[in-house]
Amino acid sequence: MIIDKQKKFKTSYLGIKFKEEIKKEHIGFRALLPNLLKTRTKTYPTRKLLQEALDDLYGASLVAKVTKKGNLSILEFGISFINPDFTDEPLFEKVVALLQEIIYQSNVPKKDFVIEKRMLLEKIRALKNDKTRFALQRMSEEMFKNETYGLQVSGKEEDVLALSYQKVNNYYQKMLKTNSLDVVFSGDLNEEEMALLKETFQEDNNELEVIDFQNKEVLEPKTIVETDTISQSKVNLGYRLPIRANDKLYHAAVVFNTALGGGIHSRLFLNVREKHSLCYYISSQYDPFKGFMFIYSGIDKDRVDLALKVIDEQLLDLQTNKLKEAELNLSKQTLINRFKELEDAQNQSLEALYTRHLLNNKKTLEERIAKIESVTSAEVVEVANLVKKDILYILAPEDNK
Amino acid sequence: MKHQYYQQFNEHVYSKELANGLLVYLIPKTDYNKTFVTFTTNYGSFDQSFIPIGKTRKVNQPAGIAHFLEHKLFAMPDKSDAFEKLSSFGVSPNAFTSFDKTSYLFSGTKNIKEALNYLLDFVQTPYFTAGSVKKEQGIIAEELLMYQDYPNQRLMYGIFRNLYKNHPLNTEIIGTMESIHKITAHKLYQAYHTFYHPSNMVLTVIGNFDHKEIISLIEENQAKKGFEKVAPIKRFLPKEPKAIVKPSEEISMSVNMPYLGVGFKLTPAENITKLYQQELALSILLKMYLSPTSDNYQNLLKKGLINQSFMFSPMQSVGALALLVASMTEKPALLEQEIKRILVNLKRKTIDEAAFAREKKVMQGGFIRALNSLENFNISFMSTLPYGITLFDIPQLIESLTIADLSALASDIKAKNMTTFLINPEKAK
Repeated sequence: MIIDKQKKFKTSYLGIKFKEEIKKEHIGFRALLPNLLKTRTKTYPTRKLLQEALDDLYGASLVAKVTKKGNLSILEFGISFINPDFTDEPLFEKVVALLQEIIYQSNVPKKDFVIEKRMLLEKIRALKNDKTRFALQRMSEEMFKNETYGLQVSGKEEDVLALSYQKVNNYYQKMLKTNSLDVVFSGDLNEEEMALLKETFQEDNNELEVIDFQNKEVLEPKTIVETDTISQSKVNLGYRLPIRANDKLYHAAVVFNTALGGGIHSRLFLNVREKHSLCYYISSQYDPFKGFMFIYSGIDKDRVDLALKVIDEQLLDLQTNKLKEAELNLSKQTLINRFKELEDAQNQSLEALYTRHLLNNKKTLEERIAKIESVTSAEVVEVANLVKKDILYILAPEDNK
Repeated sequence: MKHQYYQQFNEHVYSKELANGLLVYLIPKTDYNKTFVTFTTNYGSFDQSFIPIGKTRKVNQPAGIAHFLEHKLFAMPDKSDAFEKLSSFGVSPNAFTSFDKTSYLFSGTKNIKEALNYLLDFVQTPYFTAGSVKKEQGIIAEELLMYQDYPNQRLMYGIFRNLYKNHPLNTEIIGTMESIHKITAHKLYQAYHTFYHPSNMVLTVIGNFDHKEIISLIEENQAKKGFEKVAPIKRFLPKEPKAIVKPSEEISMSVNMPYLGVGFKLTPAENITKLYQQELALSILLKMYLSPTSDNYQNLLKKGLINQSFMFSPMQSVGALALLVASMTEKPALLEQEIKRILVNLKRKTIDEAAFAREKKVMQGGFIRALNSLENFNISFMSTLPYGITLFDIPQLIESLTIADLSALASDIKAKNMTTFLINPEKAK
């Protein structure tokens, strides 16, 4: 059990996670299952009755979703509920019982299959409306074309279209038997409540590898330009950065990313946005599960070339010159601040604890801070030199706009 | 300093009005790591028409000026950037502009006193030049373009434009391409000196700090700046007719499915606390008849008219009360009909007591839940002040809602005050 025991929040969260390695043939099932299971239970046999049951628990909020973490696809069912200090009666036991019923049904609810399938398809289609996100997804698909990492766990239309009730139900039964189960909890928990959790949800210790070690040699970076009826170019750059979460240079890679594009003090923000007024947003992100980095931005369609030039210059500078002492410290302080602030957000803090559990990282907050403090500017240069451009993806406005 | 303990929620609030009129609220939360500070002026995109401080004649300023000022306030006379300087304390700064306020803020886990001192200083140091105004127009133009590509944004303002002829709700907070180019350094100073006077501002600090230390720091900082308390600012909102502007509009955008928005113009209460209560009541009314616990929702789902994008919301602001319903849908005409039928007929429904009680409970739960996040806590706290209440009065306001409050709103939902805004998918060429 992964427990973040504290009394500082006014709510608690109980989550049950089912994990397996991402497999293309399971994506559709795992995208639809959480939506289906949360439509009804044995005691609350309609969508309306189930929602009323949650409302009666002071508007407890039910989470049922699939997410991707490195190599893994994680199905999560959870309930966030108000602590007993603020309610007329404690909610814990009712929450456990309700969650148990939602997860363990004799069969997947059938009546809502057609509705949920339609809604999932419409949701997938609607993703394209968010151009920033759509452009990032397209970049990822192109960059990881023949790698597992390119698969979207939220599902593609063809994954969902192929689903039938029978197939989903078969997969559900199989999933319950084969997936590894983790219990996560944030809040205050006594012995009896702990015992109830252990008895209701049987954990196993089947630890799966979360890191994706698949590497790819980049010979020549590719450029892909697509168009849409939009008014601003979405410019994304994907880079290989073969440093992963448990590697020696991991903390240096985190500092490097922060200095490059991880905040308002960063090189990209200061140069591309502030100095040249080329964009409203620009940011870089580093993925330590796969070992890559990307930069994303929205730029005036006529000034994309200048923006690309500035980005290349900044990267080259980080490869050739050491970060200034002040810059290095600022990046570190930004990160340390984020580590500490994260502990003040219940869901994110629990999720980070879970991620560290998967990575077998037992470091305390202080130890993690010390690791960041110890990064040197020479190590940051070393990291910068491992960065290799893989793809430039542009979603551009159509000419006549 | 005034001290109030809200036992039911286990929260302490210390407050003081300084000699210069600045309101200070300190809420210590020592089990948190961070501190979150907001320095807010009651000045937002609505405040385009007012009597400048020390003058007698009304001025009209371009739309988007409050937001523009927010961006420009970070520029300092010594050419430094306040954003950078604040980050150099190791805190994360930010700012936002809404319809009725502009807020400068930061959160951090160390150097809070230094950062707070600097926050007060930079917000109280205006520096606008013709050159910097011109440069900013470029950045804001990009922000405008970015929002042009967001269907949600287009839909919301599309509805507001159809509903409101004169009320500034009909213009984006950031203004228009045309209006932002009318902004000058002179106009910025005029707005600044009027609205950034401490008498029109609130400072709220929440998190891990010692309240005595913080109040003396703030008092010391303010005392040396020589502001004297001034009378409330005279602002003007254009008179808004009861009728809507137009009943429907359609546009095309790069979306994959038609996106329908339906809006109703309602009658706002004159009294500002009452207006806040109207919003709470409207929110409950909409949830009872459109949320997943309603039969209406189940029917819309079965008919294939809605999906996860289905949303509904009350919208309340000085001089305006409206409700919005929106969804992506393959059958916009049918959905429009259904929403109209449901909402216009609400006045004939008998409101179910049990369902009403349940929705109140959910709302109380939501109130508690929102206190978890210091950002949320701080922003909700300072946002409720202009309504003549404090955040902790809200549970009582919820409790005091009656079925009659809901019925009054239901009978105000009229077909003639309905508008629709439809975004059709544009075929990519």
